[in-house]
Amino acid sequence: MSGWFPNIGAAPAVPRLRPLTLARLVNTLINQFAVRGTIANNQKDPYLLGDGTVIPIKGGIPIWVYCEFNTLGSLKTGRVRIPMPDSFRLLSYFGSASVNAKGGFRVNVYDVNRRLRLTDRPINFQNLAGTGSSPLFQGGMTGSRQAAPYAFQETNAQVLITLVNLEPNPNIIQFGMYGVQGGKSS
Amino acid sequence: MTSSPTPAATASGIVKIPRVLIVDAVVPLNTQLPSILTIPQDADFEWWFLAAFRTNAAMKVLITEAATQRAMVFSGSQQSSQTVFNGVFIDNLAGLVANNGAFPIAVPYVMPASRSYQHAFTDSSGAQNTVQLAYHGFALLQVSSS
Repeated sequence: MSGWFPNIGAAPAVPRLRPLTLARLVNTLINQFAVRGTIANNQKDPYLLGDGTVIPIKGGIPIWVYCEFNTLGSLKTGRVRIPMPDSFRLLSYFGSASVNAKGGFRVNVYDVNRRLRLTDRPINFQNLAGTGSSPLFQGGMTGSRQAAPYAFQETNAQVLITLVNLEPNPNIIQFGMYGVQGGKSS
Repeated sequence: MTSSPTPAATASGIVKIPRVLIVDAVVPLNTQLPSILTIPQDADFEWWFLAAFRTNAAMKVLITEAATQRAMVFSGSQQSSQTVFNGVFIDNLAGLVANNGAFPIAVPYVMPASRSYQHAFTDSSGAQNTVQLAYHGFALLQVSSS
């Protein structure tokens, strides 16, 4: 460059713009944003449209592991150690309380073998677990293909569940984990 | 040039046909009722979603694969003396498709053709409970390559 313009070197490389629609194939427009379900389904949608699952596991059997307190007294603490099935990988939590006026219950999840807290401290159960209608899949965020389900120790894994009933009434509490037993990483 | 039978056909000669399998039960009050789901013998079934209908939420469910006796619902916990192991509350398993509540199995599970899955429904509502589980997925139909 010369003249009025200072020499500032070559222009930086501009990334090539990505078209919002792919080339027309069989006269059909493809919307690249339309690859997932609705935003409202973020937490519970582990499938990619027209593709498979974001969970990097193939095979294995679906397993629900739970503990139940029928009933846990008002404002009482319940503690239970659950022996986990072998080769269990955690995908989501679920929970319910028969009385849920003041938050139902708080829960702490602790991996006994690795001495790991899976919840930082007791958490209101509805902030951790939904029902079957509203699960939160662990690490399976929108569009992610890097979901990383937590694998407990291969054999003899144990989980310590500590629950606190927040209600001034006896409460029927069920809390558990959904996951896959066996299978291979894909 | 040969063309595949349908766009869903894979190189291995398997066509995925959408299929819904149903388990129905009318559970008398405060009792446990067994019910069996048998996978149709024409194809393996790839299970993707579970949906559930019930007339009362006070209903628990157990599911076991008959041939292998593998339980899908575990209770490893020492429960209180009043608690009997009858499975997961049905609302903790799944909800209605109409309410956007079907539960994604997340890692699709292939159920072999002709295999049976035992269900045990236990009502604790004190009234008759009508329940239906719907297994959504695909029949994996083998197609000949000729």
